[in-house]
Amino acid sequence: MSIQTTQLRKTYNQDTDFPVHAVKQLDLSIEQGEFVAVMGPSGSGKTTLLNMIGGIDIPSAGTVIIDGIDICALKDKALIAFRRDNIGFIFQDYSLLPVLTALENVEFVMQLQGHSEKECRERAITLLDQVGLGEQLHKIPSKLSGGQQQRVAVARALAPSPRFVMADEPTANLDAKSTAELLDIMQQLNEKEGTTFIFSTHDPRVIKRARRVIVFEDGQLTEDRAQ
Amino acid sequence: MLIKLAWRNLWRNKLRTAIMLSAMAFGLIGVVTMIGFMNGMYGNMIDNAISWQTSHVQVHHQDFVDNPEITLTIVEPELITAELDKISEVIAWSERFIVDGMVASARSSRGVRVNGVDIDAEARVTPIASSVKEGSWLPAEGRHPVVVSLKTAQRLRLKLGSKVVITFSNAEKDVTGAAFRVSGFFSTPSSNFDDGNIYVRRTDLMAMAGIDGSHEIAVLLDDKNKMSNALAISVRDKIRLITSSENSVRDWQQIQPMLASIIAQMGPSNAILLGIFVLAMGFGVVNIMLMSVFERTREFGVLMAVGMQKHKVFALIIFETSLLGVTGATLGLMSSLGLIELLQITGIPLGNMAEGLGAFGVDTTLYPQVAASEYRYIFITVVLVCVLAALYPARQILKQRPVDAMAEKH
Amino acid sequence: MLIKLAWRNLWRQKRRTILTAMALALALVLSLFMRSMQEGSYANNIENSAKFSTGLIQLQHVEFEESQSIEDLLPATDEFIAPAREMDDVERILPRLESFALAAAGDKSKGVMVLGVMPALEDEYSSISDKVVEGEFIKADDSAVLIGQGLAEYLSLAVGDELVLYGQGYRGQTAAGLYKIKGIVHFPLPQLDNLLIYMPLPLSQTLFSTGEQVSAWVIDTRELTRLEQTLADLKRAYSPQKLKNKVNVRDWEDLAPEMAQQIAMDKAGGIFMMYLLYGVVGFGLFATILMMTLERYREFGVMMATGLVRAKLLGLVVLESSFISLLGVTIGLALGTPLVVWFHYHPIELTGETAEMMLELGWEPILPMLLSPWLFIDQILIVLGLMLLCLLYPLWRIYRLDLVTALKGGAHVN
Repeated sequence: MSIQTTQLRKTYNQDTDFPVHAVKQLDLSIEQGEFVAVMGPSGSGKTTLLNMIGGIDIPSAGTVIIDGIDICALKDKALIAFRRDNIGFIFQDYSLLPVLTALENVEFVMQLQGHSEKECRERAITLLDQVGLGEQLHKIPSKLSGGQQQRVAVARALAPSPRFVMADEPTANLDAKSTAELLDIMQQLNEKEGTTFIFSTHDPRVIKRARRVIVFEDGQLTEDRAQ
Repeated sequence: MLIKLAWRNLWRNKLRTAIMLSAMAFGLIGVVTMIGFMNGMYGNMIDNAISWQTSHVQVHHQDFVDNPEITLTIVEPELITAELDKISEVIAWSERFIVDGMVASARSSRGVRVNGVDIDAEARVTPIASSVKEGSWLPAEGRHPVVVSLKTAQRLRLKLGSKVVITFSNAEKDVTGAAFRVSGFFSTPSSNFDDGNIYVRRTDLMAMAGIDGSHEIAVLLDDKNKMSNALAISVRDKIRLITSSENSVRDWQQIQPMLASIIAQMGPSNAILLGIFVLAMGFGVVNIMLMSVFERTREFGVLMAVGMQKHKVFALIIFETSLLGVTGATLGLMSSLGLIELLQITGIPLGNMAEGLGAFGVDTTLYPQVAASEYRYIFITVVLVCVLAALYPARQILKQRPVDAMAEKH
Repeated sequence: MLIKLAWRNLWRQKRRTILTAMALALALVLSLFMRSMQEGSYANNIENSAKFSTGLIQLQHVEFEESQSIEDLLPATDEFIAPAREMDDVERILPRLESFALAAAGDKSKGVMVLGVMPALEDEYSSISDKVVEGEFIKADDSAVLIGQGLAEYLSLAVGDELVLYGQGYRGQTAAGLYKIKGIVHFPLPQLDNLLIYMPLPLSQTLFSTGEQVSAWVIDTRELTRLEQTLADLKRAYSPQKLKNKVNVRDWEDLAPEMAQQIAMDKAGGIFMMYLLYGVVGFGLFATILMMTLERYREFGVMMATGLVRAKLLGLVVLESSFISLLGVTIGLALGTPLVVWFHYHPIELTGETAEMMLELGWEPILPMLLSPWLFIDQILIVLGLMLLCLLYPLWRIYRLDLVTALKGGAHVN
């Protein structure tokens, strides 16, 4: 699995007097099994970058190629299907559907893919176990702590067996303990199963755990180091 | 799966959904009650008209219809009555000798239609015998009995046994008159009918008139479906076949076209009532769905990001409003059903509107009626309108791209 | 300042505000149109009924109501009617003699109502001469009569033909006479058209041997609105203590209760519909106001924390609701008023079966619309009442708003 961006650019308000260059000319590649943190201050463009890699946003110029597929060329329906089958998403807040239980949330995407009820259920239980929430299967998000919700989000992100998982500031709303727990799980999955994780963050605790750190400032990559 | 999600989404804001459902229930109860009331009233009007005025089929000499001359009696009535005997749907018929004349007491006088009837036959065709409130229906013995309405009795200051003089122009064009004794007072739901009709024995009237025969044969059929004249038409046609072309045979809608008009306008007028209500309701549903959908903008963004196709998102919203519609309609219609059932037992007393209703020929206790088919089409209409109401909010949310949706801070 | 805030708040949720206002406007337009149509047709029917049949008020012998008898008459003298003539509100007074007789022509006969009138006075009241379709209108000293069109057809009579009238006269005397038809009249009320013989009063008095007496004095007032007052005045003037004949003063509702009740029933139906409509729309208004309140709990908390007094907050919500209602009313009136005004001056004419049905029931087949300020005021008041009702619960919630929970919690709308 490899992600390749070439001359990637995103500009807002192009035709006005004050165009905003969110991402300027980025060439980046990420390989299978990496644990990458994209860091930078607010407004640095890191969220925009991740959105483009995840196919949620369309670049103004350049391409994003995932395993040889140019995702910018994909049309609506195909793009949505690609995301569903290949990319796992974890958001800062509001990842889960508030009216579904933890179990149902994890089953949801698999049901969209069309798997049988039995398959969805079994895999969902396994995943929730893996993230340490085997006992909270039937709780709805409002009955779970922030940390627990994000763990369910991890399970949900992994459910369709994606090529990689994207997380946009996943620890921003969590306390220290939950942050640690979440990172433990993600690290574990990365080391044991080889799942690729890409997060945007400005939380130093997260950055400490990453094996590759990409620093983003003013839409440009200023540093790309391994640790 | 989508339906489960849709149902749960509906109840996220319990208060709002509850208000909407109450609105639907409230409106539906009102609409159904009104429809039931109208149906009941018009149905009753038609029932009474058939019972008293038109019966199901009537036969006259064809010129008598426009020109009620005493000499225009029915041609060969025996052929008709023989045929009527053979038709199984015929419950009864009555041969009537009719003149327009005057009835006078010592106190006052009135113009009336004098109905000369066969005592038993008439009692089988119209409810006259059971509508006699004081005294009795025409007896077989006794000299010149007459039965008048309570209203006529009031006007002419009559008591049981009072003497009245009935006058009219006979077959020789002479004004003839004779004294009659009041044997009973009747009352029907129609004040016009009461005012304008009295009953005597056919034989007595024919003797005064100087000719024999009958001017009118009224036929009562075993017809359960009061809104349709199909059975009456078939019997009418059978009679037409065997009788002279000089006679006119008409079914009740031909005799009283106003009844047909009433039946024709009932459907459309109920539909308009429903239409207005669903229009008002529709505004409310659109409003609520807009609120509900836009509150969840980010969530929809996530859904699309995570891989839910647009048509599924669309379906979700449609399901949400459909479920709203189904629940509201069920609630409303169940309550209405209960209310109508209750009112069908107790009736709605409209005693102090007696004169107004009497002019229409409607009873003073009203039993509302709603047909099963009407409940059905109300249900379908409500759900349909809810689905339509979902289209605008659904379109609005689908226009957005996931990234914009997710960026929205509500 | 509060007003500016309230107005701007409304437009934060443009779609919601507009939808709610539109729903109100819809209810208003529909109700206005319907009520105007109803009241218009009532006024029309009352007028027609009064002009051609009962008049607005009648003075009758106290027994006449029940008996309708030729025995129960009132004096036709100037002296008798003087008190009525002196009243300001009385526009005109018409003496009438009415009774039943048998009309015979050729070999047909029918019981008919004979109405003896002063032709010139009647014509002034109801322009009945306009309705003469054949022949000529009668004069006070004529010895010929007018006949209703339906009746003429029934008896196969034309202008110039003769008919016999035969019946009971005053004090048991026989009433009999042969009369020429001077004209045929089309009465707009079919019950009359098929039954009425119109003859000059003196002629009818001769026929029935009544001498100088009448069955009724028909009184027309200047304005329909003054009717009750005039009725009361007349009752006093003709009270039993003052006169030896006992006089019954009756208004049109008493004389034609069917019409009064039909009007009442129709009105009740219309008002029911109207409340139903407003009720449904009202739920929507309630939902909107409630949502507007509960969604902004946190915001209200902030406002109160920074110094806005609770009373002012309540005022704010009241203002916002008032604006929405006002918006709805304005749109409704803007759409509805021209509609009502247009149809007032160009009433819808019905045709076909519906028209025939209306004619049978005695109503003219047009849909007149009443233009009256209280119709509009009525609607506005109802919307106002509705709004106040919808405000009760939201205002109560704000009243009980706990600052701390509001700041912490935010939009917990349950």
